[in-house]
Amino acid sequence: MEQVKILLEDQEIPRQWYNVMADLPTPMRPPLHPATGQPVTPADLEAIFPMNIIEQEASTQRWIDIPDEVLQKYLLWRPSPLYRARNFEKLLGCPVQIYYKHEGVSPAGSHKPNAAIPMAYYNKVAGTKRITTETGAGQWGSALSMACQMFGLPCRVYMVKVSYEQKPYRRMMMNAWGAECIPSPSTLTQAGRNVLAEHPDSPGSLGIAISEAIEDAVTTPNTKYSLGSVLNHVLLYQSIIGLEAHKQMQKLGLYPDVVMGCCGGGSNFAGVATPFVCDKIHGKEVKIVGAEPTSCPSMTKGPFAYDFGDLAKSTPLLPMYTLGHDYIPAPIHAGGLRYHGMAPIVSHLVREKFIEPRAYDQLKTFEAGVKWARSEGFIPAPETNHVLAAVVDEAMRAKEEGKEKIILFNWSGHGLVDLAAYDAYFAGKLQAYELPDHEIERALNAIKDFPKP
Amino acid sequence: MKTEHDHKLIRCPKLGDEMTFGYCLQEAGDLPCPRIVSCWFRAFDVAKVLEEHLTSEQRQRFALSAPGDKVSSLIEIIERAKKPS
Repeated sequence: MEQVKILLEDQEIPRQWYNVMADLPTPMRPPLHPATGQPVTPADLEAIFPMNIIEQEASTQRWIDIPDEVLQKYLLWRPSPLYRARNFEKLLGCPVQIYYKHEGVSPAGSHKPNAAIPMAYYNKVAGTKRITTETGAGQWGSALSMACQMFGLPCRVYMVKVSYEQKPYRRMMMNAWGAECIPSPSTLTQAGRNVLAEHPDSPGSLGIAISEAIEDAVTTPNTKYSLGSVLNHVLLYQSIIGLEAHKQMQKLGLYPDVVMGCCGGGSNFAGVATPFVCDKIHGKEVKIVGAEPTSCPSMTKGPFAYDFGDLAKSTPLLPMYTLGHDYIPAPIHAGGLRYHGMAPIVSHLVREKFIEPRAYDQLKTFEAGVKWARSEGFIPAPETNHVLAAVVDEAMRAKEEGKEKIILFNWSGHGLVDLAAYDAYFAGKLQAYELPDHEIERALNAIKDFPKP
Repeated sequence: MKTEHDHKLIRCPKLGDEMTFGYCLQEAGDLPCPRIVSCWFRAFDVAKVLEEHLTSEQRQRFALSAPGDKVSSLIEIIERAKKPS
């Protein structure tokens, strides 16, 4: 019988999170206050976060103790199993060993509770009585609902209305865990009422939902807000994934050649990657790959490698191309190169070349996800399909190069609440909307001499 | 605004859900989502569609509409929420 799962006992769970900020060879620039242009201070954020979380957001301490109360909740599903994907390996027929961290075993079905639980805990000990947040399709909202219930905190989730209607099951999960799930825009906040006054049929947006959740926190006594991705403290909490994987690979006497994850806001990717980034910073040979969609790149290169707004604010020429010549350039801001929507730590590691970003077309990702489901059984979340496409790609590269490789990746969540996306894929509604190569080339050529931010 | 592309579906990286181009066009009220160009440039000439469908004033506001980094946008929202309505 061939071994498939590599398990850690409860007592082997890591007792500290790893903070990659401590090991960055070049420091990150601090975020600037939009009004003053000065570095953000703790006081700027204390209206929405408790001070213990703000301290972690700014911390450069390498190891941060995980409180016993958090460990006790983690033990409900952690340490998560490390699997060897033997069936997928056979299907691919490439000279690779593929290992994955199964984060779909959490009660909410994804990696998100790794951050939700410490957030609820730190709020509880800081005296917070109630938490608000926003959610798109509901992965974060459901994880935080569960975590708040565990620590006896009421939770209100503003869910973007279009997803509230399209994705009823996550809303039901939130309700099952005792949270209020409100379709946004709502009449509960001024921000929501303003939108509804102008656009009564507004389907909502993440921006509106964030505004509602923050307004609720700022204007209600003893209420704080939680954010599930991008920020430093979120990535810190997620490092438990990579720390466990490190131990599990050690149990096998192996070290990965390639570590991979899918990149949305960067939290699950950083979770598996940062402990290995630490090794790489200190001289270890390991390739670290972040996979994102070609359609909406945040890190990889395209004609619009940076968000449109970033271009508008930082590069006067590009908006002329995109918006026409009546555009009046905004003053150049000093923010510099960044990848909007991506965690600043991940953006920094990409710039410093510790991470290699790769992009995959949405059809390729679903193709990989279906291959996975039909070989390994578990149905991946659509985001997880991006890393699966990257794993297939890496395996094929190994075959072409005639090299044996050990691949480790984070299987960030299951897709059982996202089956409508699979339905759209099977029905051919998700298409590879690709311009002909020469059109993309034309677009690239048109802007090739323009200054880059 | 209506376009011939409104029905086309894409997985929205902000929401984690399948959304139509029609949604992207009005994600920010009367303005498109700030990510619309980077999400759709491979599919068709989205910049041309925006030029055709946005007024000059909308184009100006659109160009300036995207938030900065996450912490800065959180602070902007906090300050806005603190102001009396």
